[in-house]
Amino acid sequence: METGEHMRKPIPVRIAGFAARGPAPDLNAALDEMIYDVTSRALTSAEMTIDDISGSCMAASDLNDGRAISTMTLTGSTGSFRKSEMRICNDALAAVQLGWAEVASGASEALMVCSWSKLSDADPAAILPLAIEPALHRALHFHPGAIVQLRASAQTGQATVTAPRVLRPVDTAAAVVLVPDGAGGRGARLTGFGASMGPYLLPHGDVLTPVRTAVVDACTRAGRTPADLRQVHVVGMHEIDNVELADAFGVPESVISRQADRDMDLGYAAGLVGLIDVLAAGPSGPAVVVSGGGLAYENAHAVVVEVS
Amino acid sequence: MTTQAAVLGFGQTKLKTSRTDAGATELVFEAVSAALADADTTIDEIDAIVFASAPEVFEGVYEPDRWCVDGFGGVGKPLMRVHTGGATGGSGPLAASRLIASGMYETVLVVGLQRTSETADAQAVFTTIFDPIYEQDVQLNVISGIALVASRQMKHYGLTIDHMAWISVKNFDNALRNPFAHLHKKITEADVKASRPIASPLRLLHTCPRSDGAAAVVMTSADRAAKRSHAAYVKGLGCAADVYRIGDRIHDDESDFAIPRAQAWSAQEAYRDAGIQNPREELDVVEVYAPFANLEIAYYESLGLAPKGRGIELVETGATAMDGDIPVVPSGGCMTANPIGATGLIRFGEAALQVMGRAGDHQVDGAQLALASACGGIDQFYTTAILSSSAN
Repeated sequence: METGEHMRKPIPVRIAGFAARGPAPDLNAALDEMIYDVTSRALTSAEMTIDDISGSCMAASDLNDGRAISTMTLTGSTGSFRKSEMRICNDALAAVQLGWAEVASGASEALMVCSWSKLSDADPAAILPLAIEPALHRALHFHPGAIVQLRASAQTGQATVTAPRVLRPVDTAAAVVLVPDGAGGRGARLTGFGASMGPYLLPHGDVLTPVRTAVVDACTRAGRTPADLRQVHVVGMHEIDNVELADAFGVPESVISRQADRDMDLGYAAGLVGLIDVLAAGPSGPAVVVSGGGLAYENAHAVVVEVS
Repeated sequence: MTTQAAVLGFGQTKLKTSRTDAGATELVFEAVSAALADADTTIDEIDAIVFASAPEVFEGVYEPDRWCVDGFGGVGKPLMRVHTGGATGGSGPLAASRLIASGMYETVLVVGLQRTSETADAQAVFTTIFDPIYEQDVQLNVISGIALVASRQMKHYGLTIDHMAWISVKNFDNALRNPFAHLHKKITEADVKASRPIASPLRLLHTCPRSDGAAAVVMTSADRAAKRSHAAYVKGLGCAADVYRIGDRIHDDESDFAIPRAQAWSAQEAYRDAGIQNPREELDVVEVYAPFANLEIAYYESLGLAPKGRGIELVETGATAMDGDIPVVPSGGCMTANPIGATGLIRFGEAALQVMGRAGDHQVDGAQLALASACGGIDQFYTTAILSSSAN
């Protein structure tokens, strides 16, 4: 795990524009139509055209899109034709971080970061078992909800049995345009990031350790403490209640916010939808957006966004 | 002022049709252990990990990065997985370079994995990318798509089966010097021409095998690398995507679906970064991701090693052989080993070994500037990296 000594303040970048569509159980739109809708509106909101961006960095799951390699047919709608294209298969906050790196490194003057999930074209019940070890765990019909509870049992030393909350599949798409800080001076600034990966299944440590690490690291890099945060927006992690999250992050429960319906499955787009929710609400001051992906929230990402 | 990235070490597994002796976690452990040893680095010195693995349908596992995390020391570290189809292994070091250049992390481990043996038929997977009503009946996949490219090279630029056979023999010969290559077999041009037809004009020995394997590269800042005994420095990077509709790629001299234009766009960006004006004169060695013999010749042109339409002259003069003036894939390349999501990372690692002077029996004497590429889709996504023996 990283320590504060190793962390430098990153070069901030700005979010020049953003747009989202959905979430809804079925947007009744073609995949490329969903994506073009948000990328074109994000450009409009940034007062830019497609010629102004140098590429795209996206987060998407082939399985959630119901395709073998979904991005292969989407160059036009993501805006990456004749340009750089990068694709992340983790929560979209990881794509935000990589897009940020592209802009902060000088490789890009303006970059599209977009993400989507089209579970109306997929079979969510068929995807879930693929995430489980095939020889033993898959045969036992393990469910991520059960894994969280088993980890909680190991942590407390007592059996934990709860009825799992069932995730509802939805369609959604979201896009932001990142530019160097100072380029026009408009938009919110990204000032800190953090990420941490937990172990596969093995129940050692607190379930919330990876997301706590991601939030702490993001705040450290942004030069902030949890006491500075006006909002901690949590995406996913639908089995965890606000009071536990507040305790894990060291913030008052009143600071925690969630997606409108925490039982919606936004796929990899969850982090970007959450970031846009924060931008749209426009709180003054620093906010953290944090996501926990994987079977038991072990793939954690967080960013600090400062809306002025 | 951004930070230049550098390669400290490279490791790869033995590549085989099926590594039944090792699961995915063991494969990445094997590659990562070798890379860390080569870099004289411990896992504790790694700040973040980029995991490169192509579609989940190849592995039969959703999110293989989570399955393998204990095998590559990723627990507790920041991790992101890249997947850009066949170009995945080239996108991994590109992402790591950006993370280092931006100052976000100083030392990044890039891990590439593919167990293609878990897929009953990789080409059937490709077919399902396309529209199920209009397109899937055509059975367009990478092999049939690249066969169309070869046909156009033959029609427009004089490519013959003799040129393609020479490429196959050259690459198989080179692979005999590389202990990690999948195919170790002495072949002749007659063998190539007599091999089984796959999709005209492509025959079996014009094409790559399906391989299981993993690779890993340790990357860090140039400042840190300068304190080590060996390093390769990233001088230039490029990445470009083309449209997927092939009809949209055929309309003018630049867009003929014979010479991959997106490879040219990607290379031009990398050359600009690296200040390369004349790649044929300035590059010492090239590690292209060419899974088919005809594509390697097309890349000679899109990489600027030969003028438009004259890539075949590099074959006719032997310029790209080990003893030529611009050796191409001295490792044997993709035609002798193709663990798809890791292949681009192997090209990158091999290019790094060349400029570090550590490529063993397939070392190109005096190599100081190398190019590595990766490609994905049907001639659609490309990455290019320029690696140097010296820092900026």
